Amino acid sequence: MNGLEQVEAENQKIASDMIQLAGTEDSRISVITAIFVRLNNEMRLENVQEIRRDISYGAKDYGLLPEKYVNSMDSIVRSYVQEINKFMKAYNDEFMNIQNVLKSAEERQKYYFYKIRETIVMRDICELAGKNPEDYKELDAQIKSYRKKLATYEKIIVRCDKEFEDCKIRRDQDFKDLFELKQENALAVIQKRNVITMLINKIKNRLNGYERFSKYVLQKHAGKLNRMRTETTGEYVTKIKKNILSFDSEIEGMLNA
Amino acid sequence: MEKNEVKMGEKFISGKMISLDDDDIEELDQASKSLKQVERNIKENIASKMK
Repeated sequence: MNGLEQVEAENQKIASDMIQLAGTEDSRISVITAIFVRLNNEMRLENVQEIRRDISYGAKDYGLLPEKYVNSMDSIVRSYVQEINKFMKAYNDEFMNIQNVLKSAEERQKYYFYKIRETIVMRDICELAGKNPEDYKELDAQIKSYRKKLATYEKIIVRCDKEFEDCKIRRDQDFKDLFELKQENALAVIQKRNVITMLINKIKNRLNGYERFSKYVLQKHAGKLNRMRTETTGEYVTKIKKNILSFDSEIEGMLNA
Repeated sequence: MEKNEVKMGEKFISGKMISLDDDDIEELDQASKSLKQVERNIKENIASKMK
């Protein structure tokens, strides 16, 4: 194999590696996306079940049949799902933004791999032809600059991987803070178990069980939903949007460094 | 809600078929780590031809 044939064979091997790399990167993004989407769906489903359980147990606590309040339950659940979807959409936007930055960095990295290879071959040809190094020093400078770009895109890829993880952690924590129902405190549970309290509650339920259920269960959810619609969900969405801007600005800084 | 979910399909990863919709999250997480390792190896291969 002469020198030219060897270069050609190496070029083909690199081209084949690049195709394999692109396929692997594509698969990895699909898997990361699947994990993110699946966890979103699981959290949404668990939360809906938790709310249904809370209302159902609430009805039982006040001596009522939960089946009779399915419509109220559905209406509350629908409203929660609307809020959850607003929240999830904001996190999906953040996730998609990281994904776009990652895809773009991976594409640029492959481009610079190609440019480095191309320039190295050109320089080697000059060297083999016995040209004066002064005549191809520009090629050396180009290779150096391309290598720097390659390293920058690798740093961005590493940063995106970390941001995917951070985004998941933030989403999980924010979801917990915003949507999870707070457990009753231990004292309230003990009070419920107390025989006398139970007896008094039973009498109260006979007299006005529905009013108590409406006040302490349905209105509790209505109040929480109202706060979400008017304040809290929006605050979280704004915070997520700020995260996107801050990440974009950090990437911009890395590109301009 | 479930009716509107988009199916993500399957991928052939590290010698086996992975369902993005049905396989355990831990299995997907493992697949993602394997793919990252493959990416590193390919990049090292490419870089070794550029010295």
